[in-house]
Amino acid sequence: MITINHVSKSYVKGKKSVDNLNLEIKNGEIFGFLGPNGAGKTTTIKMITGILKPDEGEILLDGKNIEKQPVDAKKTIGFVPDSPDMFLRLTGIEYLNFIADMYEVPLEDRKERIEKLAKRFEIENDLGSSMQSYSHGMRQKIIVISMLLHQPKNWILDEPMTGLDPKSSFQLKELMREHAKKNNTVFFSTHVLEVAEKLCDRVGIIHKGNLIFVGTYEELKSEVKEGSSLEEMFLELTENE
Amino acid sequence: MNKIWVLTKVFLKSSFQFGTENKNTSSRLKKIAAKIGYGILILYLIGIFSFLSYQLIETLRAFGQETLFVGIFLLALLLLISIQTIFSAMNIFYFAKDIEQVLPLPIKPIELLLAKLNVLIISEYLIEFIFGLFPIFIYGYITGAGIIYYIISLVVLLLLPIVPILFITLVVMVIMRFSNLVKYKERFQLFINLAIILLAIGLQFFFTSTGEVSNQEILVTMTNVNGMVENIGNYFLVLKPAIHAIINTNEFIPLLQLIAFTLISFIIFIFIGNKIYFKGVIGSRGTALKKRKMKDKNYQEKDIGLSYVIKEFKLLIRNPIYFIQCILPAFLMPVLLFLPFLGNDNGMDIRNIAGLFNIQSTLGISILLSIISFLYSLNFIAITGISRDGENAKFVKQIPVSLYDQYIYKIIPAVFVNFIPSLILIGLVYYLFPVSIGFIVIIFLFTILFSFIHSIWMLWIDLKRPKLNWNTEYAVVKQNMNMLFEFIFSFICIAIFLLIGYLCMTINEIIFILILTFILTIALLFSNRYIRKKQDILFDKIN
Repeated sequence: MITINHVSKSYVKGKKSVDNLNLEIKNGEIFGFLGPNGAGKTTTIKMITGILKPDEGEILLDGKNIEKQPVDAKKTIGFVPDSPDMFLRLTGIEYLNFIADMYEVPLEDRKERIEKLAKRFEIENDLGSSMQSYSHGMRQKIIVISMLLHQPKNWILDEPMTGLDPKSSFQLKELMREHAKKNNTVFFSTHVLEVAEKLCDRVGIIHKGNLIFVGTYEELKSEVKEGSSLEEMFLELTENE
Repeated sequence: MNKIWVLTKVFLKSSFQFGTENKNTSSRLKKIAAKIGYGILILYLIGIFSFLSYQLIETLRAFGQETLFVGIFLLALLLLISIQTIFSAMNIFYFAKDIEQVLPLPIKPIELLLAKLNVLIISEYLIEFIFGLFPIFIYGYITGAGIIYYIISLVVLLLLPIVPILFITLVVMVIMRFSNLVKYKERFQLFINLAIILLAIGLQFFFTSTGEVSNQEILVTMTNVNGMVENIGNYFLVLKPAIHAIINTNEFIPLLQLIAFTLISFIIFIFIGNKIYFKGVIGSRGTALKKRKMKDKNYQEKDIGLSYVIKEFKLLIRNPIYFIQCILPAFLMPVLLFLPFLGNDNGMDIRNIAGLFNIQSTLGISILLSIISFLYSLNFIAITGISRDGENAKFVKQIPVSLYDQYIYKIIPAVFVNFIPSLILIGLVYYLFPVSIGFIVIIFLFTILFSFIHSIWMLWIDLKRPKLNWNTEYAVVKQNMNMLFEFIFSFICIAIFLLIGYLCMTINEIIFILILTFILTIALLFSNRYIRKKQDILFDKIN
């Protein structure tokens, strides 16, 4: 479970990038976080994962405060950042072993999980190559696999579908559904509105640092003109503000 | 022509990071302060070299040999430019990220080649401006030269770097074109780069051991030096005409020769470069996937700290730029500095002279620690520990490992690499001086303590002023103002060591060693306590 209580953040004095954000993502839920560029999505994700400190408020991951108990809180999350270009001079398997070491995943478990996931994403024969030689999508797959190695309860993904081929994108969506079904949490940001529509139990729309909508897709439809597409709904909401 | 100039400006901006101007007032002020800092550093270097040149010219003038200065000076300048070019040509022409951004644009290969060449020449002119211009002017002033001298000198200085740049770049281009055919491309390129550097050191060793500078007769030495300049002049096509053009300003033939050499080299460069550069650039990007099944041995479990440190080392060693700029100087500099002491016949002389100085004294220990402090200041691992990761730096905050632990893991490679200059210096001391094993062990322990302190504070500097948005890895090491702080830190440490040594000159060595152990241990404990307590604040700029 992810709990965000009265969280605010400013980079420049007097201009809040995230303003008094309150949000609870319950176990068993897939939550889509939407918003135009520069709305505050990445800032929010950075605060949830402990990269940025909020100016006000608190963030709890399975009840653990990310600021006060950073190591314990981080163990409960798996994070896919917006850029998959991580330590490209390592080979895929070196990177996965390194991440497994950081999360203290036992040898047998990591072997089993890497083999299973690499096969699912069809990169089982590429793990020995330097990540420099990978395409954007392959790097994204490695990052996704690395996120899953310690079997975290809370998944946090920043634009996770970017660069993935349709099959891998489908696989990831399947994984997200399976994960939520096991009473876990998935929180992800996206620009692809259709993905949010089809995958999410609830969506949140952030605009200029303020959460302007939280609810199900059905609730979102009731807030705007009848017969509007999701794209039109999104534009209407973010332009009205 | 216009495109070449536009490209040159873009490449210069990206390599010197001028493009990331911040409109924020406080950061603008910081930028101004940084520029003033650079200015002071440049003026300081110009001042030192001008003063040394003045001294040398005056000394030579006393023997009526002042023209010798031009030879020695131009040779030194040429060597400096050549070494600098060896270090930067491959990066500027092949590894810089800005190439990737311009490759899809409708640019002719020749335009890219010339723009890159301009960048290299301009950066070498900057070095020439700092080290070359003023000594030549001082020579003109002392010898009472006329206006023609200054004009010819300027032309010579403008032409001098071009031929070595063209030659070295041509060699690099051929290597890169060829390396595309090699399976382990990057390792091959690194190997070749190392070979060139080792060759340069070999030459230095060759000249220092055959120069016989220990000769008693100063005039004979001068003749030898002149002979050495002449000898090396045979390898550097442009050296002799450059020297003669400056010395004999009433003769225009040497200057014409220099112009002719430069023009011919340029034509050859354009002819070959146009054929191979673009192919080499395209071929050097991206490496092939190696398909293979994972075996059991590929899955390995390690302790968090060990795994982290190994990752740091792998990233340092596998990146040719980081390897050459961060690890190599730790090996090279002590070797370069100490080689003259080991040159054939000089060894015995120096051992005899060394025997007269008691290294096992308070002052001796202070001097050794000062040398160590200087050598550590050439290790750029800790001071780039965060910046090297660039955009990946925020990874430190994503993993469930305390920031204090990661701080320690990040400095360990620096501490390890510091062992090399320490061991080389200690080995040299053992070779030159009649010292006890106990003394050697104590000095070694001091170097370890100091290495930890040094590395902790260097990483601290990087955390305070991280350089995370860079276009080329080269910028992290070469165009990084933080290095200035590393030298300042080293300078302060040297001052402290010498001051303590001087103040304790009358104290028994054993008590002095105890005092030093106490000071270093307290300094280390304080540093460690500080980073443990402030770990959250220290990593604030990483986000």
